[in-house]
Amino acid sequence: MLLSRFWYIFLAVAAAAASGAALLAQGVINRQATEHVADDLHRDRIELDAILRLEARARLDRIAFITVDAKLGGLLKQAGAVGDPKQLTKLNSEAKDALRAHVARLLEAAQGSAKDDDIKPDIAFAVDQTGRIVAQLGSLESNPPGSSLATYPFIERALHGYVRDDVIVYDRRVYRIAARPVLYGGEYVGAIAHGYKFDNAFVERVSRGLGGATVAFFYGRNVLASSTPAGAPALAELAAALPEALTDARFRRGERTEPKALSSGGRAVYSLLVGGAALSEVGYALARPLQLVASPTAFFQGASREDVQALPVPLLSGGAVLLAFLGLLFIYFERDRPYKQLRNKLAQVAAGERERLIVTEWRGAYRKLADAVNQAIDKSVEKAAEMAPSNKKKANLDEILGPTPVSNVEPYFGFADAAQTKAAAPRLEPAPKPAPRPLTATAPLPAPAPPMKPAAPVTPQAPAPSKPLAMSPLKAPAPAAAGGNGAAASDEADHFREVYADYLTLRKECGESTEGLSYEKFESTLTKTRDQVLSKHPAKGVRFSVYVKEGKAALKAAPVKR
Amino acid sequence: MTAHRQVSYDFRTVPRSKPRPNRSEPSTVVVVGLLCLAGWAAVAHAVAGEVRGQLVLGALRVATPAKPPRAAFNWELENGVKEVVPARIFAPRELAVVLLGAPDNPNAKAASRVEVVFSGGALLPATLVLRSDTTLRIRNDDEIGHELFADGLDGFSPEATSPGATRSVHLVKPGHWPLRDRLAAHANAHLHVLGNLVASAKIEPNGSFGFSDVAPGKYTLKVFRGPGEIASKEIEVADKPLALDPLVLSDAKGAP
Repeated sequence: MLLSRFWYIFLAVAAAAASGAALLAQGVINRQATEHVADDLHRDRIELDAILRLEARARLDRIAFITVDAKLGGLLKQAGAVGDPKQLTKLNSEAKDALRAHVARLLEAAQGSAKDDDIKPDIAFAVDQTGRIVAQLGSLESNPPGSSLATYPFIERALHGYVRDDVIVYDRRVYRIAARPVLYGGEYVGAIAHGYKFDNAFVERVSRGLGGATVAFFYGRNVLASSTPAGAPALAELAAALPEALTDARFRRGERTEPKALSSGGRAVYSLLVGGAALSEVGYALARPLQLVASPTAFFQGASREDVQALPVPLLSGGAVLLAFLGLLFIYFERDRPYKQLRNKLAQVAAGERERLIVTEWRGAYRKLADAVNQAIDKSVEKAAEMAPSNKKKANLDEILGPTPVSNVEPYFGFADAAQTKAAAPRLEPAPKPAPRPLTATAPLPAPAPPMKPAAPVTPQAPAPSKPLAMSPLKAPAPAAAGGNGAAASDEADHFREVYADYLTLRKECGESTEGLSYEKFESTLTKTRDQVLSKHPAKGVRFSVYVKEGKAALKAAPVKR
Repeated sequence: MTAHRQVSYDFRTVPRSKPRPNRSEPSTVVVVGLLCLAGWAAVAHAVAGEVRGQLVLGALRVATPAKPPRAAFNWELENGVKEVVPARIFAPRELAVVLLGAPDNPNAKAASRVEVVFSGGALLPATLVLRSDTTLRIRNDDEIGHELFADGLDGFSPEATSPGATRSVHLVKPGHWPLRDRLAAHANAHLHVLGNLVASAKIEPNGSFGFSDVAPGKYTLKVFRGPGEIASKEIEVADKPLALDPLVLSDAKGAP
């Protein structure tokens, strides 16, 4: 059963290797997926910065014409020379009207190309040359004029002639600012600034180009606006990780954080905005989903139809069929066929076609089984013989064969009974004259109940090359003792050699030593024993066979009837 | 969406501008002229008990606002119509000129209460030099609230000051503290508390300054800008008004 056992071990190792490969694949896939998402987020940040930069430029370009607006310029020039609050208030209403007209022109110019909410500013300032607010639109437009924005960088630089964008915190609100100087009469007379809030519509617009990423803008721990595409991490997850991100060293240096794990398994990065509001922790968060393989079985469930169709099905099927066929073949040769043969031989024994099994025809466990069957047959016969009255005298090998003579002190290869007293070298003694009785075919006899059949003539069978332990079959007797003709002598010599080979093989199988054995001695013993048998029985020859008795190799001699 | 409009500009009314000289390195003629003018002004206007002087600001670099972690802007371009105007130092906000005397100087009579304002989005002045045991009153003249605080200074924690409201902080411990505003993060301010402060000067935008009612004696005149001292000079005040020589300032000492 060597091949079968090897096959089982091979299957077990293959199954373990497949499981290991599945687990390894799961780990590799998850690692690659995580790296892929991190790369996506890195790219998203770069793209979002570019989008915000372009959007800032668009805001600046939109108010380009305000720089030389005559009406507003004149009002700002007048305001610069006014210190009286009443006069300033009067100019304030005129300047406010000019601002509204300016916004209306913006909306008119952008008609159809964008929504009004995207164009109309949430807050607008008109300041004089000192940075003093002359008019404003928005949440604080009802305030009296006179407050200053002089120190705000976007106003300070606009008053010096620069066009500049910024992100600022004003009155606890965050605005995207576009600021331009106002010229009148060839001189800088003030500046205009437009401010836009961060709202969901704006975030949705800028995140459209990112494809599948959640985008959220925050001011400290407060989320200003967000956009969450289908399947992307929820806003609540980003908000939950925000406090930790605000203390991140990379974040505080102005870099993006490392991808942070979210509760749903997604990943998010946090970054400050470009602009002065970064000093007040105004920034944005980007998040993407991360689908990990939870187990090797989930790995297979995630396979698409295309993945399955790409498999080399003929190769896999053919390989599986071949391997299965090999396994079945091994099992057939090592289990099924010997079992079938054993069953047939036992059927023959049961039918009386044979008396016993030839042990040497089998290997491994089947040989032991055959030997056990033979022993059971022997015991049954003995028992039957004891119980049943019989005139037959039980065959006594000692009487038949006599003690086996030994010519020297070298290792003894005699017959079973004598082999049990290995120390004493059996000697050839004249056997007591047995009582005349009909010759039995072989001893011991099989089949206890029915009368024994004479030894059936057995067709001589040449032992198969694959069965070195085959029992020596009964062949046509050869009058070897009479020193018969050459053919008979040759036949007997062949038989002796065969028996010797079988005997050696059986001894090895039984774990007995074969040192010291030689064919010459073996032949001598067989010859003497043959002579003894023939001297006592009117047989035309003697046939020897080897068998296992009590775990040891034994020889049997059986006279062949005339 | 960019609004496009045909812009017409009358070049006849605006002379072609010439390249301006670099303001951070004024010419020698200009400096000498200013010195003479300042000296004459000091002599003409000083009165008894007064100390007057002139700060020469040309060599000072313009202070930059608080730098955010990332870039301060996406775009800062010239307007393309008229040349940009170089930035200038606003002395009343950025500088503080003080007189320091001996700790036990009986003439030391710095005000026990000093009032500053939030104006233009930041503290005015942004460089505060006060005597120990002084109450600082901060009035908010802006239209938005402020939350000023000094890290590490007891009694100066973040506290909202609404538009028009005033906040008081009593200062005892000498030292230097940066002042920050949670609602106007761009604004930089610095507080110096000195035990031997005698008087603080009022500074005009042109750099002139003056002390009034200064008792005779020896003093040290110091100029502070932001976190550090940028000029120092020993003076002696007599019974008559004192007009100091123009003081040329540079960024050599602790300039922001």
